[in-house]
Amino acid sequence: MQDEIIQRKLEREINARRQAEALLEQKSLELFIEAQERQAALSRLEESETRYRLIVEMSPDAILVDIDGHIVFANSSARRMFADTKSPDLIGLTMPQLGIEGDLTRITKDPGERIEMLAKKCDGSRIDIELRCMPMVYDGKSATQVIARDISIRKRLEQQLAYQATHDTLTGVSNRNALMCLLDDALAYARRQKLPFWVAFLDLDRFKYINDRFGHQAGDQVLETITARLRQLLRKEDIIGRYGGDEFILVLRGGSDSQLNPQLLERILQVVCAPIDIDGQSLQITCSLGIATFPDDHDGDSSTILLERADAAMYRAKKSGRNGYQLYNEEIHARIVERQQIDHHLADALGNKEFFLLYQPKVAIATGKIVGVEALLRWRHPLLGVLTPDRFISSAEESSLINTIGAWVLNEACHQCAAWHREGLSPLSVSVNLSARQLNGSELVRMVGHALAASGLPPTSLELELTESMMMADVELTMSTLRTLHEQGVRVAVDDFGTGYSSFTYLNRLPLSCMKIDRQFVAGLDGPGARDASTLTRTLIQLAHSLGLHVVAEGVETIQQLQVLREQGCDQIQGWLHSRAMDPAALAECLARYDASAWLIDTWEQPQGGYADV
Amino acid sequence: MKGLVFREFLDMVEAQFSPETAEAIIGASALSTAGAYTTVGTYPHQEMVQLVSHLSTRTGHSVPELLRHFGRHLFDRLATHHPRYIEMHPNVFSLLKALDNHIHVEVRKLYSDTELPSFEHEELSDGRLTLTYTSSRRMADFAHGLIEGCIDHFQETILVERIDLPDDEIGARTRFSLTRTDDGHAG
Repeated sequence: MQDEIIQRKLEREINARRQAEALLEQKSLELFIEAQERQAALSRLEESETRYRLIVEMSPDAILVDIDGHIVFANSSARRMFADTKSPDLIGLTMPQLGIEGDLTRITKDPGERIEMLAKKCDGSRIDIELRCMPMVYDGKSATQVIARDISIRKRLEQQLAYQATHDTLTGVSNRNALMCLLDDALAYARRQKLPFWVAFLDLDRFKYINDRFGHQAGDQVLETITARLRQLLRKEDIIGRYGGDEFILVLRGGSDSQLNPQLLERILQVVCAPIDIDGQSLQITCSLGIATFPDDHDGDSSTILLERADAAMYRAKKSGRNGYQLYNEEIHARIVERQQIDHHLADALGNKEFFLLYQPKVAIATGKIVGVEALLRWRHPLLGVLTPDRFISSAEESSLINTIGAWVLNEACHQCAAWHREGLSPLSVSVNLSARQLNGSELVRMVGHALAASGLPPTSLELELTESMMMADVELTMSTLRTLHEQGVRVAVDDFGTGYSSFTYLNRLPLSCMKIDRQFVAGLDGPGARDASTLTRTLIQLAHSLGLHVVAEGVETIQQLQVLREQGCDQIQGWLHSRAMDPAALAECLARYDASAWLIDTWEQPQGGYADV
Repeated sequence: MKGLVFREFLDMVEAQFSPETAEAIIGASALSTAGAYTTVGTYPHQEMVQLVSHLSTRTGHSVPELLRHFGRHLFDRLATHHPRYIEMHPNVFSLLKALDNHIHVEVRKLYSDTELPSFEHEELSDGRLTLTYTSSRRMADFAHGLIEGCIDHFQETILVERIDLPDDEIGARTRFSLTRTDDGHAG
């Protein structure tokens, strides 16, 4: 029994040993396979290491590794970007030595975040970089990986772009956009410091002439020269900017003075008009200056308002003969306010029936008969009272309401004249003034045709008055338009003759029937320069007659004027000597009672004196 | 279960009962290797259940009693043959706390296919340690014996209270509450 137990135990031991051997063999095989896998993994790791090292080395970005404040790795881009011969590999340097200051672990909050900074190369020169930092483990230690990109070129381009966006390319001074910002700043500063400053709007006089006559290159040279002179003249704290073609804005600070020194304005005018040498030729150009003050009495509390006021003052300086300066004042302010009120109400004026026409008779000098009337537009403004067209036509032209208003005038005048015809007051004709904007070809022809058709007025009873400047603006268009109208029987008068520019060649070819002598020539006939005025009117009358036109003298107010005009062969007169402009009812009554012979007798029997206010 | 445990169990049976008893329980059990165990091999734990069960039948000792006894015996053997795992711990609590986080981790490195029980511990400030045994094999008695063997080894005076908890999704759960009853060391 004992032996049997020993035998069984032995067999179990042998069996256990076989199991152990088999297990050992299996484990050996597993170890072999594991070793092979480990070797393959190592190879892959080495390959990966090589690949990543290559990527890191080839990276255009500088890659640095920092451990405890010292650089332990730098790729080739980092060496190129920062290193010099003293520190060719950057190893051992600190980040602050490269101008990278601050706690690297906090410098960027997350790995995607980039910050820009001005770093320092080993040779001391500066370089704009974009930086990213991220924590990493390097050789088993906590490290920070710093990736730096050279953004010098981008920065330079950005600076160039920013410069171009804010500076005028020709003159180098601030451009319009930058000016508005600078003006805002100046305004804010002046408010804070309670200091005055002035905005000067400078516009070169007749600059277009320089461009047209000497070419744009010469024009540019003039602008450059004047800018340089102004920069030299003005103080550092003043601002100069180019607002537009030949427009400059100067922001002048008073410093401790609360008054603008007029001598400075004179100096500005002087430096602008000093001769400019262009290719051996001496050119001279003047300027007009308009100045707005901050603070002023008119609540000019924004950059835009200050500029508008300086512009308005400059416009006044131009009107006053150029080469001068004008400060924004009460009168200009009143005009601007008026203009705003006009602009504001103009659109509703027609609908509100605020427009009305007055009619001023035209009288044949020889017979004393009223041969026609000129329709004169008036606007009963709700705030400003009755306005003549010179107060609101430019607003109408700018807002394009001119065509609507012009059509209304034409219709109204035609209807009124047709009504008088029906009342037996024929053959009265009516004259209607046209705006330059209305002389636009087929639209005018259609409008006239409509007014005549709607009113039933014969075309021969309608006369359109145009200034010579309007006609000459686009001669071909004028010619074709007027010919069409002429063929329909409508007559055309050239208004304010002698005040504009005419080409006699074209004048002769235009289908005109009448010339109107401007009131300023007539007014001179009994003034101090009567002889010269008389020569002028005589010449005009002769010219008109030789062109086959009859002549109407406007603004005749005295017997003396009438006498001269009659002697010179003028055909008709218009003016207070005979009658003022009247409303339709007054005119109808006047016509009904009118006795031409009596007027002739009364006129020539009057003592030699004025009828200044008949 | 490792072959080492089977071999130690059979050696214990031979020594403390008789070689015949060992032969008998081997013969009575359906064992995969007919009772031939190599220490580094791994065998189904049900074989241990069979062996203990047959030993109980033959000797009249209950299965829990036998398993607890074997646990106590095995700890002594391990301490004798593998002292380096034991020596690094100064006391019972230190070793028991290291079971899940250190000792079983090391065992898994050697025997990746081993299925080990878990011992969650919680040490309280007043010299108490609770150890929650969780295993699908229901060997809480064996674990109990091992804990007692450990206490014997460090010669500490520790009261072991055992509460069998309801099963969870893993298996049987038993909480051992260990309380030092004096300054910690028995002698």
